[in-house]
Amino acid sequence: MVRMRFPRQLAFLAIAAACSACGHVAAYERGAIARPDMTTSDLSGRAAQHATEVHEGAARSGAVSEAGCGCN
Amino acid sequence: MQLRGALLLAVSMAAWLTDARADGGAIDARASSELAAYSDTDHVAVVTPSVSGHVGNASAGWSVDGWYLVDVISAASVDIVSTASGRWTEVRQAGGARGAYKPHDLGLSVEGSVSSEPDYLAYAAGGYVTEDLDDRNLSIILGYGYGHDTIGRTGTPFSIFSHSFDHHAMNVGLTRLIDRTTVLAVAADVTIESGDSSKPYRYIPLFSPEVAPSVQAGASVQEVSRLRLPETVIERLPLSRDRYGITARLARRLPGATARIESSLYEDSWGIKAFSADGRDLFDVGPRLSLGPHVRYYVQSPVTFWKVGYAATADAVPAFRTGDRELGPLINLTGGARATWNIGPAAAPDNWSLVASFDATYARFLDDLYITERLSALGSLTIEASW
Repeated sequence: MVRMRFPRQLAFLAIAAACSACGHVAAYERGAIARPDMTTSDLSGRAAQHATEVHEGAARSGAVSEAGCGCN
Repeated sequence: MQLRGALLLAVSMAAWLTDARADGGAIDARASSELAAYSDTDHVAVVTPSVSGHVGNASAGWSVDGWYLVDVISAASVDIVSTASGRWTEVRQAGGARGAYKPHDLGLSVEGSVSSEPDYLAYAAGGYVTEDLDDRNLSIILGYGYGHDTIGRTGTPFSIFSHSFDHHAMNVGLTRLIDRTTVLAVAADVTIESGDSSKPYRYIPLFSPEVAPSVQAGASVQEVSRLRLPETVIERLPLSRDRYGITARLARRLPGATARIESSLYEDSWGIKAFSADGRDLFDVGPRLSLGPHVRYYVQSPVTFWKVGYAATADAVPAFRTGDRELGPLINLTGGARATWNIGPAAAPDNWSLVASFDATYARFLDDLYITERLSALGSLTIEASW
């Protein structure tokens, strides 16, 4: 049986630490950041995203996830 | 009539885009078409063609996106066979649209989607507000979405038999530039669901209280048929569910490669706790080709009412029961690869591109009837054009 305990406080601390270490990036320094593969969106295609939603009980979050099941 | 309306809309859009170009606006447009195929060892196969489009003006800050897909699903899984049913084929159609306007640091987007199958109708709509801070080194996003799903039976009108559930989703996220080559995004989601999401085709075998504890994970259809009580009941899930998730995504540009990692934590009021980790490397293989591996790990604990064998008596049946493997304890391990080949002209090679991806997923079901593992494969080929 899978039993899990989340160190949530540790996760928030790690994120806060990462952000506090940020430097200021000027507009002319963002050539690498502007690449399509640097997007903060999911790189998976729509079919792969839907397969993940069907295969993982935790999926289907977000303000407007894709409607429908396809597994009824 | 609908075709005539669509043609009028297309002509109007074309004229408007032409006017916008004449006014000096830098209109950018993209279109893509994807063909994906899925197959698994539980005898489920899905073919999914899809198209999507984007029109926007980056300097003016507006964009419009749309997409449409068809899922052709063919299944003869062990759950279907165990109810003495044959293979079924079903078609799902889904589409959506999004409009966004962000002239300066503050932006707004609205979007909606619809999905339709003979026995399932769902729609969702929502919006996001974004604001850039610190000279666009930090972006904050707030989102809300509402969805309504109607679940029925094939061949029976929704007015005769159906049940529905609603979901409200809220999320907040931030994106931070760490340095010139690294970006971090963190998002937290809360989803409140209410209504009946039980599947009307999902029959749950029942066992006497003396037999139920001895039912083993992976018990065959024949063994379950021998042990179970004559009565079967359909799935029954709680009528409300609160879901919480937090996801962090980091992308870093390295010399000759882009590395991406993502991790999520999830918990809900049904008792599922889940963790996922996802990694991708995309190596530059020449000026037009990038290629790289993809790995994903996912683990979840079961819902609190999960049982491999549900015990029942003549007077008492479990209030909640399910056979949905994605509500049980499971581990998924995915490995795959993705390649992008820019095939546009020398002046703009990425104006046309081909993207191929393949993922294989091994799922281990830790406390389920019938099967204890599943191997699945998903491949897709996408062509993208921009101008």
